[in-house]
Amino acid sequence: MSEQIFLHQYSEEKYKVELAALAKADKSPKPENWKLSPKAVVHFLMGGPLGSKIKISPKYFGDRRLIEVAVASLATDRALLLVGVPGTAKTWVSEHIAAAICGDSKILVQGTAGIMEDALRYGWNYATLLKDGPSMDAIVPSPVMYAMQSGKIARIEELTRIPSDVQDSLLTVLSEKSLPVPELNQEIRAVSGFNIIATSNTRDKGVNELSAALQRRFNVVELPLPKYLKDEVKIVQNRLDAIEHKVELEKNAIPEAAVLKLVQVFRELRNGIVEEGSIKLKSPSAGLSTAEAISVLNNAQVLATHFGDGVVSDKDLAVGLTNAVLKDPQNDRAIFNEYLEVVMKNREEMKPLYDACKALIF
Amino acid sequence: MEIRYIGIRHHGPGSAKNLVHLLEEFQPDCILVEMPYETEALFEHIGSDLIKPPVSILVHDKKDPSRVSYLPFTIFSPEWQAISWANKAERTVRAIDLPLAYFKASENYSQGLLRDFTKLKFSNPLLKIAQLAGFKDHEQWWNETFEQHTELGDYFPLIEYMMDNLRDLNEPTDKETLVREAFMRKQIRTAAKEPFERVIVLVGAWHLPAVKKWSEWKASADNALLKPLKKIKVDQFFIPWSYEQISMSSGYRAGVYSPAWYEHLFVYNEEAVDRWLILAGRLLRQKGFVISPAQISDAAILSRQLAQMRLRRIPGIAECWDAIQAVIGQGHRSILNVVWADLVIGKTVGKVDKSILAAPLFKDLEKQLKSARMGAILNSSDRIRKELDLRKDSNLSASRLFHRLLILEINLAALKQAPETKRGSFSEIWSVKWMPSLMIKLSEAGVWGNSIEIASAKKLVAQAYKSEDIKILVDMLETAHKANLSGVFESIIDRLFDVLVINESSRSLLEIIPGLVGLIRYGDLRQTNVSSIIELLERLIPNISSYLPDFASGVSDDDASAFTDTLLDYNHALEVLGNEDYDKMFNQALLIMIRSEVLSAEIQATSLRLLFDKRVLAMEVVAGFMRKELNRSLDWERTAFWLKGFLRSNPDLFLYNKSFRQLVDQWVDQLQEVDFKSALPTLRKAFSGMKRNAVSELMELLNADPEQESIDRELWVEGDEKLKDLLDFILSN
Repeated sequence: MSEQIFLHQYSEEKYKVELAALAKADKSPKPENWKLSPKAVVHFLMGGPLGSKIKISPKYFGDRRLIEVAVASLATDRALLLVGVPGTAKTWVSEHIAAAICGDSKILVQGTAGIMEDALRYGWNYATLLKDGPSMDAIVPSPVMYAMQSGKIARIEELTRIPSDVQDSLLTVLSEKSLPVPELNQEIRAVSGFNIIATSNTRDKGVNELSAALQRRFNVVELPLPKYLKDEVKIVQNRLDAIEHKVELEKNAIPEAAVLKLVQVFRELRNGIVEEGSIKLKSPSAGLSTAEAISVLNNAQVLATHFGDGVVSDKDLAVGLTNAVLKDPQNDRAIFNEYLEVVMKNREEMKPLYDACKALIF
Repeated sequence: MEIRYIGIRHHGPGSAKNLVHLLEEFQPDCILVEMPYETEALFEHIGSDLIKPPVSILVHDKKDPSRVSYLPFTIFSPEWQAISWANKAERTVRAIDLPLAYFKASENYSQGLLRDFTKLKFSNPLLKIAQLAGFKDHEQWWNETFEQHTELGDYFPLIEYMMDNLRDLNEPTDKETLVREAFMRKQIRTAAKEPFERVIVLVGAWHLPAVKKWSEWKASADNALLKPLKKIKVDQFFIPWSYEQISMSSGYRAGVYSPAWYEHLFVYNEEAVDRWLILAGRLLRQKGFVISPAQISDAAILSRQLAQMRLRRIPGIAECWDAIQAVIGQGHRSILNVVWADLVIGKTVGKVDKSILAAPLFKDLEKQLKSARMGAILNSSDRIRKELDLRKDSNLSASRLFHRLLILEINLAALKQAPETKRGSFSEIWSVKWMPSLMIKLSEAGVWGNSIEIASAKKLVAQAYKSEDIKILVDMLETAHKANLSGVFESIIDRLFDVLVINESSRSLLEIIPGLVGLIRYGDLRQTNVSSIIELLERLIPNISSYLPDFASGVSDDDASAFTDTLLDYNHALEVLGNEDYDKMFNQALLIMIRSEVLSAEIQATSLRLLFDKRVLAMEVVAGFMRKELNRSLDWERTAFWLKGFLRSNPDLFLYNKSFRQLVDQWVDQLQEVDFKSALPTLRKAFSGMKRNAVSELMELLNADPEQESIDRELWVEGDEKLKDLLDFILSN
């Protein structure tokens, strides 16, 4: 049987070679049960040459400072909360940090509004429970409990989507580093190396705000949207290259100019101001994050590969762009139209894209 | 004799700390410091109770006080520590750098800061080393390597070794450096001949290689370099300085010139980082953040972890900031902005005792502030809001003092609200902030005199004699009035009389009257002698009134609106004076103006209205004029401007004068729709002075005014609608 190809490759699988090389070269002190030193973890995230031969690929394109603070927080036994608007690589960063620290980024709780305490604490194997009564054997550990027992990092996605009372079950886990099992009058104590990386979306702010007590246990690192156009173009290109590789699309199906164009349009609409700073605009309701730009480009790439001549055209871009922008049919249409007429129309290089967008929405 | 050469960076806490330790161990009997030669005279005060750093030595040209240099010191300046150690231990300490007097005389002397005592001179070679060490910036590298310490370290031999290798003495350097180093060598030679046993030579690191081998240089060659220098007379004294200024003048860069942080490093040693974070917590609490000691200790732990990851010996400002941001600030940087200035730069202001303070104007300022019960201003670097009630003597004298300082361009206090309202006429609001840099201004202003009163008066008179603009001169009168410089008053008025000859018939005469009358009106309050102004008015007003029709006819339509305001202000000024003769002259001028054929409609209407308001013309006469104007039916645009001028002084006239209202109503009524629309903008302006409720009232009156039998009903309804449209339009705008 041939090896199956999965859609998502976990960081520790994908970057096995890099992680091994970093571990080999790592001479800095490691916290208990960490696979790499904090310095090497940052190196893994930020990329850069390792010795003269190996080059670590960058995973995060942004301020090194932020990653340093994130990793240092975990090294000082404080839980880490990554916040930011959608598409700012929170999950991405959390996955890679977890992989680098404990070699396992799979210990994951996806926060939802309907989540129960079991998902953060433990559940029961009812068959065993009925047969033998409550015992440690009848307990079904949650990812958090598993991480505590194995001294690994547990990841909690979208922490602020979780109802407050459920969130609070993390309190003793984080302050006492233990998980009481009152039914058995026992507790599960965390092994060194255990910690939590949570992410939360600033757009959800106020939905289930963390209690002050819980807030106190987390160090907060805010991942910003890319500050400069060129950084954002770099991020998009990097991700596209990775996807190209995976989906086996034609290489270089997207001209660099198209990436630049689209990212610029996204940024300008998102920031409400043109790159030159001379014209103020209204922002549409859609978030228009970097991740969305990547998805639009990817989409265009697929269209071009399967239905076009292999090279992304302005028409392909226009389809994705209008879909991404027009979330609220009334307001967004007016806002987008203003942008088309005031900004895009007057730019020589964007004229074909302008025509294509116009043809689509009117 | 043993001589040790120490290379330092000015304002380096690490250098300062290690130096003190070295002095204790080595116990030199003579210390030679790289400071301008003449400053040695001030050394005796360093370390005494009379001075508290930050302070600066101010050196200025005796002939021209605006040519100044300053040499700031902090508690963590190695020079400061060395001199105060020597003073305490009763050892010889000398300044060996070239006298500033020489520099001042040199031709290429620019202005302001002559030598920047805070920056490392040798940027290029050091930059290379810094880059090798992985730093972007040599200042940061130096800071990290030699200054940012909480423990002692024997770095001086390292610095010496580095400089020996970095500085190639055969390489050409600038003339200033050559001359200075020659002078320093000369001083070392002198000291070497004296019976000292252990000598310390303390210089900026870059100079080390050039001075330590002084014996290899020929004394005659050094002397030859120094001989052609010219010298001027300078004066020097201590002035208080502030951390704010130190960080400003050194071009703040994160972690390098952050005085409050450096002070912590120097004073608290290994406790510095924790204490600094505690201070951060306290300051944030003051701003309303709830911060527990546990959070501070979490931040302290995180900052250490970060320092370790970034290969820093101890956490620096950047690490502390990052930690505060993550632990307390929820990831937001904005929390830091709140306390940045207090925490990094600091609000510390130095002190110099009165007994050695040499700026006479400062002493005067201190005395006067004290007598106004505002002495505390000089001990604070905060901006303070002062509301002065000019009816109180102490407040009045403070106000005068502030106005005098403004004349001298000493910006201690800025006037936030001028007396305009009735209540405001006896109250002033000032924003006051003492900055030690004002010491320099005070010392510069010393050329005008030895007290603030004399200096400001002299300066104002000098300015007056340079001016030929009567408006500026009247402004000066007002300034003199507010500053209570009555002697100056006469001089400015003399000057005004001179200048009037040139301006005999200009419109600006008209414009200065309200200002002059204002001076008389508030003269009592300010206790200023106004008799000379009355004299001036006696000469001006008859003159103005006779020329008024001429001025007015020269005004273009575009400018008419501004001129009507001038006219109204003038009228108001005359009302205040209440002189019958003046009124008569003015009325006569107005009567000529309303009959003029060349005057713009707006001015003419304003004049007519004035005559009506002053009851010179009866209503019937005015109505006649109005009818005549409104009957120029074709020229609706002129009529609109006319109405605007007519309503200028008080737009509510139509509320209580039915005849006028109906006249205008008829006029609007017969306007063609297209003309009405074109006239609308001007008409809107004409009515724009009306309050909203007045407009609604007028609407009601118009609705209740239908009895115009003489007018065709149908037409009336249409006209009524139009006027209402107009009012609607005004209401909606």
